[in-house]
Amino acid sequence: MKKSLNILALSAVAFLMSLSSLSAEECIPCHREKTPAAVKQWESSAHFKAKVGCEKCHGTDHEKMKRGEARVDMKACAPCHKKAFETHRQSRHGMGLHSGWGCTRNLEGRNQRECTFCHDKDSAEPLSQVQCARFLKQSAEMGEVGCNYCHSVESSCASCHTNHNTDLKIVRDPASCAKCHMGPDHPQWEMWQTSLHGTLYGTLGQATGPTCQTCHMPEGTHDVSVGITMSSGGIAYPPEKGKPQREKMITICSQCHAPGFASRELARGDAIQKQSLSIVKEAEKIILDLDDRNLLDPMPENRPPHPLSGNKLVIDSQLLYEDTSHIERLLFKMKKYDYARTIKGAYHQNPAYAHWYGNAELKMDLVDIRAEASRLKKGGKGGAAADSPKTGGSNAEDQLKVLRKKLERGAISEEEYAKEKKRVLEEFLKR
Amino acid sequence: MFRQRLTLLVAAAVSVLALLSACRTLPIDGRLPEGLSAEKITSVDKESPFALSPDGNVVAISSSGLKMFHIALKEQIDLSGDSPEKLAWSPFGNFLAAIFRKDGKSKITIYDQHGIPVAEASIDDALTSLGWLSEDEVFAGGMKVKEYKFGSNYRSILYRWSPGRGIPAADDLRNTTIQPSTYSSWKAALGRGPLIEPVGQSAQIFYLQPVAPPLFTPYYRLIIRDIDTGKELESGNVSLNSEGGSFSADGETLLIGDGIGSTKLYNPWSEETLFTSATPGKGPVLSPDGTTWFADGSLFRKSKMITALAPGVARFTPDGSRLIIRSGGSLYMVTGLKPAEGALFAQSLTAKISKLRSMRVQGLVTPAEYKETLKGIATP
Repeated sequence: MKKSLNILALSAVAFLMSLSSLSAEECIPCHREKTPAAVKQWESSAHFKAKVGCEKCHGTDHEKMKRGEARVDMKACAPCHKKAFETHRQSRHGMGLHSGWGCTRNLEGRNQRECTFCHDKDSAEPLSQVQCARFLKQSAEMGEVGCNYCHSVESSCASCHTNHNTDLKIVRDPASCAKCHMGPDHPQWEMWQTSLHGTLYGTLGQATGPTCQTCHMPEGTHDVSVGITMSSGGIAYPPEKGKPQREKMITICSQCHAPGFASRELARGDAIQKQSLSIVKEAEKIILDLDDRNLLDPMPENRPPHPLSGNKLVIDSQLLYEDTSHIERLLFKMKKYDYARTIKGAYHQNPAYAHWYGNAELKMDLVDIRAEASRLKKGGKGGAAADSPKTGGSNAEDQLKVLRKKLERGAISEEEYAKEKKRVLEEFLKR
Repeated sequence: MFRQRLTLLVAAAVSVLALLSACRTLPIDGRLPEGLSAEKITSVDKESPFALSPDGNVVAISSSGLKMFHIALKEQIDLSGDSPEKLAWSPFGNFLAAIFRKDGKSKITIYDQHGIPVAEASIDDALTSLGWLSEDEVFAGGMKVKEYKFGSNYRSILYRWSPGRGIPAADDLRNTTIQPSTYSSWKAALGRGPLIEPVGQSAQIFYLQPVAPPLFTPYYRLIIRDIDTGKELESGNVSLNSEGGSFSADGETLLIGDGIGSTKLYNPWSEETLFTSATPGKGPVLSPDGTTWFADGSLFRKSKMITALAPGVARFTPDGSRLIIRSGGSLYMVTGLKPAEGALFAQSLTAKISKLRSMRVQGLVTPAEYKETLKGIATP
């Protein structure tokens, strides 16, 4: 009896397994003709060997698939790859989509499928409040290609692993990171490639030359934020958050270097970050002051509204490179390109990026911004008087407006405001 | 003896009656206080507008057409056969503006001081207010009402026009959506438009905008608008029964009645209430120095009623010593009023005061700072 039961159970398992492979078999004849590369890749993948068929990831609704509504996202992979899924979600890649996305409800030509990126089915509550103004300024096509191709890393394993391949050789190669981590805003791939680390990799191979994965995905973790001590905008974490990460990175570096050496190298990077940030802050201060004096050209109220903040000056991480004044465009280059290149060049041990492509450009940006500010002040209604240290402006009304803006953004205290106001009104009486 | 006494008594009665009739030509009961006298100066159309020239000598009237009437000479010039809806003299009296309405449309005509038309503009709205912002620029107020099933959209509009230089430019003030039942109850009052008044000789105007919150009684919001910046200062609320406000010549004091039982005299800039009176304050007119006012057909001084005069519309002469009242189909002049006391601002200071007010409207100076700075301007 027991023997019969065992045979029955084994038969059932065999039947179920055959069912799943039968399902794949149903797809294969057609898809061998229609999508031969996909079939070929799947047949040589670990999924094929483990008998993970098409329907396991794609489902069985063929019509939905044809409509392009059955894309395989991370949720399809998560049940089997639980650890990778969880560590990925906790990492910076895990918020990739939201950091480069925004609610498209009010955009023309929106694709309703996009709603599910931020909302669970039938829920109006977004999963994340983070939105990207630069994404919201794009056409639908540019948003898809220029933003989503990289930022979809949040919800798509295929973003790195590709669609039907499972060969880890692909994702262990630094080239797989290069798709997104290159170019003017954060050329980590180029920095690494032209650093000593990259040279060693290029000449002696992975055994000697560390790759992106060696330092940022140690032991194959999907938490790409390991050892990172600052935000993606280059602002250092508070010590309680940054210090443990720094210790992790020193441990990683110590696989090849003396801990003291690693610690000193990273501390140099910290120093360069601080110096460079002070240059950016000086530029921001100049632009805020011009805004106080209504001297930006054009002023925020005279431009298309910022997608998230309306007709207000925005110089934080939601800074735009389009529909702004020239001086803000200079700040965009300074912050997003040159500051990023300086600090990332320093931490990636690339002298040319840290200095010439980064820090030198940063300093030249400040020269340009100061010159542009001077030009705006000379041409502005404040004239030469706009150079007055506290307020500027040729009349009491302008001066009071400048003071109020400075108070509102916390540049001056209530006491300073009252004192300056009194002085302006006294001058007004004398005129 | 008895006959002699009777004769004396009759003579005395006649004398008293004669004396009374000399003092009292207004349709009122009781005597005017000592020093005041009143006389009818001319006949006008019933419920018609009139405007007193800044020198107080000429009054523009509607009497079977528009006329300029010289008070002392009792001579008049015919300007138009049409009857005007609103009249306003320019600040220095060089021009007279008149609004004529026909078929829901309006025409503004500008006359020189001799009554010769010098400019004209047509506007496709029923204008309800008229005044001057400067000697070169006239303003008019009106409203557009668009009725929907869910309510009526009431839009207050300001027109600015420099006669002889282009056409009037419209500027939306505010708009209010009013529920159908509320609008129907208050249609007549709301038909008077935003009741725009100039604020002294400064670059600000004052107007009333209806507010109609669901389930609550509608009311007017009192608003001062800075013409150049378009910024506004809200200065309290008043019942829709109100017939508007009136500023003193220096623009520092505002008289406003709620049309029911409360009249207030206050400084909207420093937010100080000067006097209140338990009277409706209908048809309010404040004297140039801001101490005397006409409302509800009576004359008040510092919140106390001096005398009842006649129901109607009134204007003070620039020095405040005379009051012209249009009551029914007659125009009366009350003389013997106390001339303006206290120093009105010198003409040279008006630009500076106007700038200070603009800064106050924009919230750049507080009421206390306004008061302090104004003191510094007035007494350098």
